[in-house]
Amino acid sequence: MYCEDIFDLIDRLARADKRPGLDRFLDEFQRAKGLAHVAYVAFNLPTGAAGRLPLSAVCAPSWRKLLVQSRRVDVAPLLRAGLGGIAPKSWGVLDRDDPVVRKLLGETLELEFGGNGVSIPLRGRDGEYALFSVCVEDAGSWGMARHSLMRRLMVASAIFHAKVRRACLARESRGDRLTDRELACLRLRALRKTDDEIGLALGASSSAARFWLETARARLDAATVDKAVEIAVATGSIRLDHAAFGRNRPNADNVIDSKSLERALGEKPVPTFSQRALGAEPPGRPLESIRVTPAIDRREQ
Amino acid sequence: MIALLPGESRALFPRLTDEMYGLRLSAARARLDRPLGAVNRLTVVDYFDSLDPLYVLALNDAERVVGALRLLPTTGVTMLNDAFAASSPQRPRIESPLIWEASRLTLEATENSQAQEKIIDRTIGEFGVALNEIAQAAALTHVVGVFDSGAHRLLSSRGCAGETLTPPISLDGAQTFVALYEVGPAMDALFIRFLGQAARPPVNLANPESTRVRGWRALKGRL
Repeated sequence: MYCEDIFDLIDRLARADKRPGLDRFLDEFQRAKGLAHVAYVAFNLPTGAAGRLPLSAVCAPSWRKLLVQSRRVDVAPLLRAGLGGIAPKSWGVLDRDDPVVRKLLGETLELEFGGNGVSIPLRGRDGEYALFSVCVEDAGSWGMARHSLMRRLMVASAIFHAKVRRACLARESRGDRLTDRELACLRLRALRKTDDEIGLALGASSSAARFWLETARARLDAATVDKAVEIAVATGSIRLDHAAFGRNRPNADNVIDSKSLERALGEKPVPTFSQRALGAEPPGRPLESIRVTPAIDRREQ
Repeated sequence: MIALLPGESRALFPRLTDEMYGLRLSAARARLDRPLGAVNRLTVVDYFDSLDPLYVLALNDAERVVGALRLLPTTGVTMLNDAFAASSPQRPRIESPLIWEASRLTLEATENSQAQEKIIDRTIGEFGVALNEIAQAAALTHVVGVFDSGAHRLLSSRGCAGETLTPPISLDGAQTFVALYEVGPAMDALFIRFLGQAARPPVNLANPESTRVRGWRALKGRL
């Protein structure tokens, strides 16, 4: 592929209505995290009826200029090494003996992006591949908070990719509909229940509760579970309007709190809510009013 | 010993790749859950192998593959979300950048394991500990296991089958089990008891530094 084609695509993307949002998101992310450089490249993006974009990319203008001048298409240092895999690749483990790697990492130093960074391969349900690369100026701080930073990068890169997908597909929908179990978990989290309490309410473990909260977070493209709860409330997916509920107020028998949890921890956690009932709670009946019954909703077991 | 083989590097390690597929073939024939003659290389190498997954290989002291596992991110195409979609289209997709799918768990002598209990114990322990380590390195929260009946039986009998996520799924007469593992100390504790000694970190075959430290670089040609 000629570089003119690629940068024509980049320019077309840059002129598209939704691109400023992506650029802004990328810039904000870069500034907020103190990252020297962020680059994103994707192949085989779905574009609905318009056909597939063979490649799209976002990277710093200075780097783009260098690439144009050298008539190359390597828009990120790990394009060759990183795009094929699934695990995040720290630039520190690259084979510096490889002349291609040495040259590309040399460019990042030349452009003052620094040689420390990570590339996160992304896969999409339509078979698209993408790579999200970041440079970090301060290697010390990178090392200290590596795990938490990596998790945030994983989430942020997935959200960014989801935004690009939606921009390409020209759809405004926010992913798939939440499942009943995810809605139930979000409702209980909104009521400040702990993971243990949510798991107990659903007849599952706290690990499973965290799992469904995570899938809900990802489905809503939220950065955190708390943000996912906010989105679910804001979009009306879950209702927490207690003031409107005039009957079935919570009492000692039907509220799961830390005390009841302590009692229940010694027992087998068979009682559970119906996830469907929790997920699609009709107005006029607050969550706290739902009684714990031995009936298990077999539809999702 | 555990070795990580990125799918895109399979061509560099033809013997390991061949042994991994051979192991799948042996396990599929031993299960007899498909008609005789239907089980061949083409049936054990599926579409998901073309997606450059990350393979986790258990090697014995002679550097022969005695177990294999495949990892794919759930944001992309996976067995659970795509292969079984036709059998239960109502099941929601499980998609998150922090959740990966582990599938095609195959152990040597999956069905005739009486004589090799200790080896299988150790292999399962190594797999579990390595999986937890890989997942922590990628900052994951959970791993979803998609296992056939043979692998599920081996894990269940050792109390490490994970938390059941859905009822068993039936496809082409074979049952598949879906299990949930949360990444962290609990997962480590679940598997490390099968290891008689401290677990060794996995060797990433695509990472030159990792192979250099373990003295594997010179072996690259014959792997």
